[in-house]
Amino acid sequence: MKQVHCLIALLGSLTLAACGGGGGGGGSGGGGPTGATYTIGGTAQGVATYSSSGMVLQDNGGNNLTVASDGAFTFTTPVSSGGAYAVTVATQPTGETCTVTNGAGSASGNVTNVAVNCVSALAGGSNVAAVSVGTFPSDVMLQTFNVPIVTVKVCGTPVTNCANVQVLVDTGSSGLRLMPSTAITNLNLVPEADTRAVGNTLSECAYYADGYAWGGVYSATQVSIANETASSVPIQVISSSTAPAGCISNSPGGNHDLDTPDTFSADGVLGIGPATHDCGVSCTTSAIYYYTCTNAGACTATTVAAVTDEVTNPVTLFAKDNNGTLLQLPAIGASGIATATGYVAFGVGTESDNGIGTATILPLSGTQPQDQQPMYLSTSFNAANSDGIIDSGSNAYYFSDSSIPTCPDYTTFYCPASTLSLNAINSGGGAQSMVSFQIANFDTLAASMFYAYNNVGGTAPTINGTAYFDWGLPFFYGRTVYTIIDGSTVGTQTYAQGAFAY
Amino acid sequence: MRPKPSIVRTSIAAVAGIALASLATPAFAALGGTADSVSTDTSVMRGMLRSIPQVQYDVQQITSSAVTVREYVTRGGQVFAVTWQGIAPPNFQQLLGTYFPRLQAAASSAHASQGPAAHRHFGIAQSDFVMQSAGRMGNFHGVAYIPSLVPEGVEVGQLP
Repeated sequence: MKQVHCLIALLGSLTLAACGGGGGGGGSGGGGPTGATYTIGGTAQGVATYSSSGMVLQDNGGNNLTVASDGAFTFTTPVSSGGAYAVTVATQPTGETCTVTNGAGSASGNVTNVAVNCVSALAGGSNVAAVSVGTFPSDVMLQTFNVPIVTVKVCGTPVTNCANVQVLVDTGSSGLRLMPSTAITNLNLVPEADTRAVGNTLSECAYYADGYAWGGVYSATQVSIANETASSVPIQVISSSTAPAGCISNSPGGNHDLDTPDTFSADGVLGIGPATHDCGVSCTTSAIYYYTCTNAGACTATTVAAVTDEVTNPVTLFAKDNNGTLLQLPAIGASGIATATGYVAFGVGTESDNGIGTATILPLSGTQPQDQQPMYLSTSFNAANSDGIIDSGSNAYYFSDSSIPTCPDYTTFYCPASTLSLNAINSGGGAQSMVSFQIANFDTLAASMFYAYNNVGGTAPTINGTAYFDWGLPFFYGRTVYTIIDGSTVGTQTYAQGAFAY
Repeated sequence: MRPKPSIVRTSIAAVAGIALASLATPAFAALGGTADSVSTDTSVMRGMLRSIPQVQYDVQQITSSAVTVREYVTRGGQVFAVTWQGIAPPNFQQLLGTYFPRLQAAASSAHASQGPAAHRHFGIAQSDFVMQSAGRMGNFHGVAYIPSLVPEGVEVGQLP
């Protein structure tokens, strides 16, 4: 480092003497002359992984040094030869906990081995579970990028009969849905009875934009994740048998039957979105998702007797920490990364680790009352307003911008010639927040075969003059995104239709 | 229904009277079909039909409790586009008519490829059939159209 400074000085037409002179603290480690001083420094790691605020380090209780990025740091005030140094974290990064190793000693040369390692403040919390991107259950062959996976424990009959299942964690849907497997069959889950037709049970046709998932509604005796447990949870167990014709004819993704682990790149999906129930009161009056099935397997579309019969967001049934969630992924570089690990935490403002802090809360709005969808943010992009959602179950930013070329092979993804830096503004309930994001060439990115990308974009339709903006998983890298469930209270405020915050 | 841009709302309001008058003789067909071949969409979808004439085309709207479907009919009497928005998707077999097998075929081929997949989004972009679909449980929306039938100057995304 010193040599580089000398070179710069030389090029700057200063004298060589100016460079070599002064200061006894030079690079010679140990045994310097009396009166020598030594710099104190080291390396920081993880400072900006879950935070953008940076941290303040101190040496000997002073000489404040702000460190906002990873890499080498050096305090400006050196210590005398043999003098004591003691490095501490005076101000932690927001949402992170940093610890110092090799932080104290006496200087007999320039000190460069102080290590400051920062981790998410969520790490190790009792209400926190790890989320993996790029690590899949063993039965997933089609391993798609940007699929966040969490392990959930599902119990059947008896309640000690449980299985750990690796599922996609999804802020864009509500309810737990499991792929069929021997392990799930062996849980002896109890089918949910149709209370109005003796002997009948409920099934569901759950639609997605790219297909449908058909299967029975069951009551799981317990669903646990981290140290949180919900009891008597209505879930869907997806079936490998043929769906009713009406389920297939209404599928926006045609006959794409989402009944194998490959279709989700997971063994199921854990919907922790802002809705309590997957349909809400609409399904008590319209026969759109639910079916009543006889013992012989004949199924007819039906309404449900009560919203509590519907597949339910398990978070709402936790004994505590049941008003919402945080989902946090690490900041990653523009080239993506092979795999990434983040966290999902339960409760918002209910524990020491899930406070909403300075996040902007964006209440959702729609034309329907609580527990009916749709619920949206308003997203302003390209001078037009779109309906916006924040959806960890979407693997890209999906939005409409006809000026961006799509990829020649994957025509639903964008392939700009060079990476685009774009801005949009999310607003809700009178609050707003600008988001800067990047869209890279998907073909170029995909060549790396990584599983985590923060700059993948795809197309979304504009329908009847309204565009749609889906903030998919790329949005979550380097952010903590709060999902507040409809009807829940955070602090003193109740959010009738739920909210997102970040 | 969610609010629409004011210009669209104005145009619908302006023709509301005509729409009511048109209720008596509903002509409704699937994508690519003719308005002469009156289909049974309305009864199949258990919806309420109204007609909203525009300068270059007519709009037939069926509103049911689950979804609002609009079909856009050229002056020549052909359905050149359909849109849907609602808490559940519509009956595509009914709505797409002879193009429904295209949806099934495209869905099969799109998902048979073992490449990176778009989660939650699905589209078909063929020279004579385009379908764009997005949504999640409780909220589905999309458009399907026949490019060659779209009247000149009409932007499909801005159809009222």
